[in-house]
Amino acid sequence: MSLRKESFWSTFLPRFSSYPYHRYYLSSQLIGWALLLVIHFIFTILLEKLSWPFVFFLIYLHFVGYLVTEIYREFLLSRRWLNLQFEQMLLRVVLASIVKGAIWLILQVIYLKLAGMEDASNSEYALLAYASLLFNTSIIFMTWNLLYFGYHFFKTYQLAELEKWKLEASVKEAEIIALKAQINPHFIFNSLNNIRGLVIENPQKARVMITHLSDLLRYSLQLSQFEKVSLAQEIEIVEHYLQLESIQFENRLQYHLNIDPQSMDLQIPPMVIQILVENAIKHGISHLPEGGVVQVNTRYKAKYLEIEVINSGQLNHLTDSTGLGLENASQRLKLLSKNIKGIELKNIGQDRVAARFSIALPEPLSPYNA
Amino acid sequence: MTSILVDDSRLARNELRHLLESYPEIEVVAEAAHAQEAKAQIEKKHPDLLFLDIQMPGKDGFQLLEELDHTPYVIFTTAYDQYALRAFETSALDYLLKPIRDERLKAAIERVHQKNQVNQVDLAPSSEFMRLDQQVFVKDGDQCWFVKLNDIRLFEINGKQTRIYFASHAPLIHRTLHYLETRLDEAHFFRANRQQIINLAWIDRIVPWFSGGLKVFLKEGGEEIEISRRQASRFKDLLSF
Repeated sequence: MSLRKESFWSTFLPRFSSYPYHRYYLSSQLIGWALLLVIHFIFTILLEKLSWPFVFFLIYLHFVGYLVTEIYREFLLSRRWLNLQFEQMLLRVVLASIVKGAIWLILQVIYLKLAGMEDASNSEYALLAYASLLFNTSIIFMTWNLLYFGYHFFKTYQLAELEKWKLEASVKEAEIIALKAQINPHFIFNSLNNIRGLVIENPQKARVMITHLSDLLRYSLQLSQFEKVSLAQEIEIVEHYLQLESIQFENRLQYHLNIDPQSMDLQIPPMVIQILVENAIKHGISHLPEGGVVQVNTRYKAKYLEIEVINSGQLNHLTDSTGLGLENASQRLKLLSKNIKGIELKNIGQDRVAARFSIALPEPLSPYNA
Repeated sequence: MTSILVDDSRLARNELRHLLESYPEIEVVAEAAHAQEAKAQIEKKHPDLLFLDIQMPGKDGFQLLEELDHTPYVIFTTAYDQYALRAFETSALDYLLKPIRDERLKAAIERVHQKNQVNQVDLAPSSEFMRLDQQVFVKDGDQCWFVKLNDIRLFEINGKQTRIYFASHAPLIHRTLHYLETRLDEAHFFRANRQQIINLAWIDRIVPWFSGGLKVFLKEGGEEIEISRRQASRFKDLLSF
């Protein structure tokens, strides 16, 4: 049962609904029926003499009306009518209003008969009289439905609108982050600093590293603007990146690239593997004092390319660094391309984490479905 | 002056060591690749100066400092870290961007020398209690401080943490009041009640309070501290000659 705040009225009324009341529901319900009762009183006083039996009848009438709507609410909630499409809902609601009108009318007639009071059945035009009464009662319930469903429609619409705004804002933000963080600046400056150290220690290696860094920068400045690059190009960049990280981590970082030779020419969105490898190091290897292994595997299946980045470490909760990093990385992947499917993050055994996803490959154009 | 280099990259440490060759007065006594190793080395060698990288595997540089009871002079080194840079700028800490420029290093070392001359701090460890001229590192959001123990006028319990009051700041530190009580010299710090420890040097005036207790007003912040009856007699003994 929901713990939402109950309305003021619910403390006075016996509670027979298994659904929580909306905070305006009970007050609207009581005020509505009371208002109707008052209007009836006024009309009766204006048109004919008010007698005590008729006063009781009117009170009975409106109390029964109230009960009918309460039971109806129970029914429509159990059938989840609020979740229906508009047309389906409209049909049901109109029929329900007529049925409720009929029930209400029958209960009125029964009361009048039992109380020995005058009713329309003695009249010449009994059928016409009942038909017009049924029309009246149905209109009252229709109005009830209009208010009830109208309110919920309005609320749902407002919520949907709000959600839409929120979503748009978060997508914008994520896009900006994704664009800004294509190559982590921390990594660039650390690499430059390491190369500076290497110049004294091993000038030959320093020269190689400068080349790796310039290729990596060129790729991120130029190629990442393109829609697609070949897997071979992306892997080349991942290698430059891993080479540069090896001078930071030295023997703490080992890596293996197992690339399906068939997949080398496939076109993929740029940076997709790079993001995961960067993540594997930042949130995986860098937290392990003894270091670890990063492994990139690709498998070419007929309609899609499967990519997998495995690193040492464990994914515990989404609160820890590894989980959070992978979560961010998968958000960035989703932004990069709509063709990226089935992003999956999980532990392999006790000491490794895998991030997997697949890229749907465009089908070759055939003359039949072009 | 002894120093320890803390950076997870060996090449970066080498590079810094190379730069420091031009400053013979700075002697590098140890290197550390992560916070844990650094902590052990600092507690063993008690350096005067620390060159500290912020981003390291496991605990970062700030977290390392927060764990130390007593911090040496610190020059932060960082490659690029917008959050850390903000902390440096708001808190006026000394930092160097990697790759490090020689002029910047020279200026930073000169500042350390100046501070050292003014303070004449004897950085050798004290045996039991923390000394009044010792500095501790405190971080509260973007703001960080190196605070001298004697500048702290009040320690106040806050769950498992302690709020310290100095100048116009009142950040939290990750220490229990009970732990601090064991590390603070009773000649200078007094446990006024279950919640608070006061620095005797910061007392402004004392008035008698209900049921045999006392009320103490502190200088500068004007905090009002109640001393329970039980503690009040101890307090009077402490202050009487």
